[in-house]
Amino acid sequence: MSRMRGSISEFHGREGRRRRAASVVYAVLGLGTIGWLAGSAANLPPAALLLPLLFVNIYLGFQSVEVNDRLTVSSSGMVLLSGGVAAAMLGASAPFTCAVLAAASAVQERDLKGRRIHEPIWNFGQLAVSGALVGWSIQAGLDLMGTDPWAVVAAAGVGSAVHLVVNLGQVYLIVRYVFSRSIPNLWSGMATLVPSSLLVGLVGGVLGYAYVAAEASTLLFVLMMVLFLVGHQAFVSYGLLREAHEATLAGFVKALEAKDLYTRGHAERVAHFATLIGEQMGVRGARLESLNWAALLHDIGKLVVPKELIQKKGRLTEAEWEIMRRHDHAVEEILGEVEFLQPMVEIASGTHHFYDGEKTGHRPSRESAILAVADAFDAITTTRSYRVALSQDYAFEELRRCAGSQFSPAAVEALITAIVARGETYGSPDIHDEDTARAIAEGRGVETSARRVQR
Amino acid sequence: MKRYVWDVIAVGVGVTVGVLMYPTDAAWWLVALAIAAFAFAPRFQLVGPGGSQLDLVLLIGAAVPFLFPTPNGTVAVLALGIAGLRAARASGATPDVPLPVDVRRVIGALAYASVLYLSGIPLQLDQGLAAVWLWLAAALAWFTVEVFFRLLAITRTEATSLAYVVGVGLRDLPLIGSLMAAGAAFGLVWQVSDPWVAVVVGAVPFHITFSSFRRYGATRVTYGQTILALARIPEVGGLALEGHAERTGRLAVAIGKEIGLRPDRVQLLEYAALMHDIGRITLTEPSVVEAGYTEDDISRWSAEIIAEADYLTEAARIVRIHHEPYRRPGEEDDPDLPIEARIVKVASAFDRAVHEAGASPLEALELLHRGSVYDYDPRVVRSLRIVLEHVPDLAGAVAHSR
Repeated sequence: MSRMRGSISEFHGREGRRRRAASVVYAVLGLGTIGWLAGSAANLPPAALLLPLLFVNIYLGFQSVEVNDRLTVSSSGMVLLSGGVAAAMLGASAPFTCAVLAAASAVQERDLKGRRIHEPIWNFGQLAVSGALVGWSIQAGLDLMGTDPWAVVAAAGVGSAVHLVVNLGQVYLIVRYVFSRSIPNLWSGMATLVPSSLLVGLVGGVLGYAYVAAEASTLLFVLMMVLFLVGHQAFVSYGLLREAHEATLAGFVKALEAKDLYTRGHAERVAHFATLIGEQMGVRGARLESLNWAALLHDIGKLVVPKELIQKKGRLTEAEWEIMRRHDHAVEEILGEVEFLQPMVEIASGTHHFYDGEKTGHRPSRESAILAVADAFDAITTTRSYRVALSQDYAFEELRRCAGSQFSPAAVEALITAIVARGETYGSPDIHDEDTARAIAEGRGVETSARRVQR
Repeated sequence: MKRYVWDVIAVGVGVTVGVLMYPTDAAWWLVALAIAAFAFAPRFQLVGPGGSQLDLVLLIGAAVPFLFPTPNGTVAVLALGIAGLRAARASGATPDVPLPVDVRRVIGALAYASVLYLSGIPLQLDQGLAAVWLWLAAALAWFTVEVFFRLLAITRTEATSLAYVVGVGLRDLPLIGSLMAAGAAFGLVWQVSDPWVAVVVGAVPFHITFSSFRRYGATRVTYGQTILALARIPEVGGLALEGHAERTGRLAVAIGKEIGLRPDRVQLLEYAALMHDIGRITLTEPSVVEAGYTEDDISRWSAEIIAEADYLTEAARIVRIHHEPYRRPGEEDDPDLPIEARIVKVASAFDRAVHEAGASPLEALELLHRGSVYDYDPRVVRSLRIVLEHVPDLAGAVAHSR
């Protein structure tokens, strides 16, 4: 069977102890930081400022959403910076305010649902520490530059940069210590977050400044909270709807695939491989999403082809080909009606044209090339009606052999790199040639291999 | 031609009122800026989650009483703004809407401003929590005007129930509220700080909200398209009546709105109606066709497919039972049969009668009336008749004119 997820469970034994150790350290660190700041602060922020922001941040943290690799919502970061700036300008302790506000967003809904205890504790500790450092940098910035609006913006920008570095740095440490894994692309991932976090810093700082400038007007405070919460809520419902969309596509594809045992799970796996290749080749954001959806739907035209044809072992007759072609048309017609998939219509027909051997005369688009490789890789590593699954090594070899003629070499290498890097294995362990695979399917195979494949 | 007459009158009235009440103490460039903002606000429009068209006019209208803090000034700028807005619309510079929609906006903005002046907030920042309640009352006044007038407009052109229109209004409330909040925050900060601070405070958090709603709207459209595309699979394969899914969906939505369902139920109804025949995909297998099948089998297959998507469990339940009669001989009206299922049954039967059997819409309705002893809920049939009287096109609309 294929493994679709990372293999956190492999480290289970050692990980349990390390989890507990990390939790103790971070609980002490978080509580200690907040306690020490509360004790040493000359002035605590007014409750009318701190408490509402605290509740807002608990809510924002609880409901945090991450839509895709480019789109994360950081309202709680904005609230954190607003609170820090406002507190500093009102003469209260910014480190304390920021530490408390940041720590408040530690508990997430998915932790509660998954009954996870350690993750919220780690987050509590690391957020309190990074919050305190953000507060310090804001306070230091304001002490240095004064409190005119430009200085406030600069200080908040520094604050949010500190937030980004300290926060991600600690996540990196925790993952490395507890799971003994390093996060690849940490720094490049951080680079993509820099513009948005600077914006968050700027806006947060300006909001805090405006609040103080408007004589701590309750009305302004409430208006800002309305904006935050409605915006956040809209983002959350957008994220949920997006998930529903994806789940609907996947669910339908699964239900419809049920008619062909040999391709069960095929669409989902192809979507997985296509996403891996796409990520590796630098497809991002909405395009990556569309690629995923198109991969899920790429075979949907098969639904109007009678089952007998799909599973037929011999060659197809001319009349049968006619029916298969109707399949291509059906796909184009159906996908053409979905606006976001229109550029993907080519993908659906493109991959099939390769198998037909009919050259379409033009190079397929990048997405189309990706999909062809993903589709072929899954076809080789799963059992079909005429042969059993082949090994991953054989699949890699075969893809490389056809790279340049049938497949895009870049897409082939991207797939191999991504699968090797993730440590995933697909296909049978020990069937390395086509003839053996066919022989086993036809019932004249070597006993041992057959048994192993069935397992 | 007639619409230009009304627009000319509107612009004339706006300019006259604006000039007569012109706020001499305000900076001229600020007035000019406000007019320009009104004129170009409709370029930033989006559809709210409830389905109403919204744009930045609400935001700017909410800022005006804070930017021009005298009753005269507010009325004058609103009047000039609406004149600019109508002129821009007539010249094609911004998307066009009928005049009553803009008039509704002005009346709403005036209601909002009146409540604010009764309390006097635009002038005083230190009223604490009282200011919050008063602002909320002002925003509610505007919202009420919006919903009330929209109700008047919709009930005249479509057969739509009060419950549906209010439901739509409530779903759009958060977005309308944040448009107003952004405007008020902008105006409030403008009074006390640098203009650019006000712009950041008003615009950036609002931008986040705005783009989230826009993404939400786009995803919802995509979702609908996906469902429609999936629903069309059996039709493309020649296994179901061409265009049946889409037409049934439209009819069902119209009936749902008329009969008093809330927007979320109408949405559910639409999905169920679109996909009620998707189980026909199973008919590609000759063995199934040879063995024979009933309507109940198709409903079951459809429901099994739909139920694979968690989000659509409720729609699957409706599809599963949609072909059931609403009552059986000697029994009362079946209380367990939800109204959505009855609507799908009626809409589907009507469409089949017209597009499969070739009946005229009137004959098809007559057929449903005759079947309303057991099969078709008379309430739903009556609602269908009302809907068709208002929008006769629904009966014959051809789904795919390609």
